[in-house]
Amino acid sequence: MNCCLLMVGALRLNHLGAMLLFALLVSLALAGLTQRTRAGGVKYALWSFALFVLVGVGVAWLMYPISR
Amino acid sequence: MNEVPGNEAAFDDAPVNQVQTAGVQVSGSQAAASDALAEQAAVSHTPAARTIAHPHSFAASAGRAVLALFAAIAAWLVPGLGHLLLGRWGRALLFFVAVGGLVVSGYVLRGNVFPPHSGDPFGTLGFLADAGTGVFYYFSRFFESAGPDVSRAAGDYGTRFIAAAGVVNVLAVLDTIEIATGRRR
Repeated sequence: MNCCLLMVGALRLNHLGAMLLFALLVSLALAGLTQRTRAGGVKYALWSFALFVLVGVGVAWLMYPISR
Repeated sequence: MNEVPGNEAAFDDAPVNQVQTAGVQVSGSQAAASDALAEQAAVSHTPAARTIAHPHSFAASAGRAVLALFAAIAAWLVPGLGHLLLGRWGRALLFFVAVGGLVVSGYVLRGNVFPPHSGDPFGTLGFLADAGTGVFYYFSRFFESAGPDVSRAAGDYGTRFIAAAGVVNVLAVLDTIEIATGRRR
């Protein structure tokens, strides 16, 4: 499993963890940029995060046959 | 019709069925009945008429431009500082956490930080993206004491994290300018 960890030290992430962190932070920023209300921002951030994860996992599965 | 800063309230506050002229408000049905008033209403939408209606609009827009420039520079230097200066505390904290989180994660993952003079177009684009993080760009040596390592996936991911942080901060700078000029609230 160590081969799948991305970094030593304080931040130990696997590929999925790195993608989740990226999706979370970018979704928060995009929500702040596009929405003016708190409720709208929360809704947008959740929706954006879900789409990031779904599309990321979907693309990963599409590339799976190529990797072998 | 809201391109001129400082003039938004006059047009935004007017009801849909009214035509607002310089000091005269006329309902839609009356304006249709009177050609003279309709012509006056059309003239009042020209930039010259707006200047007459709002003699202080030039000073106001100049002040807003200076504020926008100041806030934009602050927002670029420290993510969230531009919004903080404009009184948007929540959004300031959000951008600081998002941009700071992305760039520090990128550094800890040992992502590549592009130098100003890399010599190839992709390197220049990478520098422009990284430079968008403001002061975080100059902290890269502090966080990356061992230097970048793109021979592994971690470093490659880190490079993307840092570039994304810069792009997000540039978007935050544009948002700051729009708020300072009154185009967004």
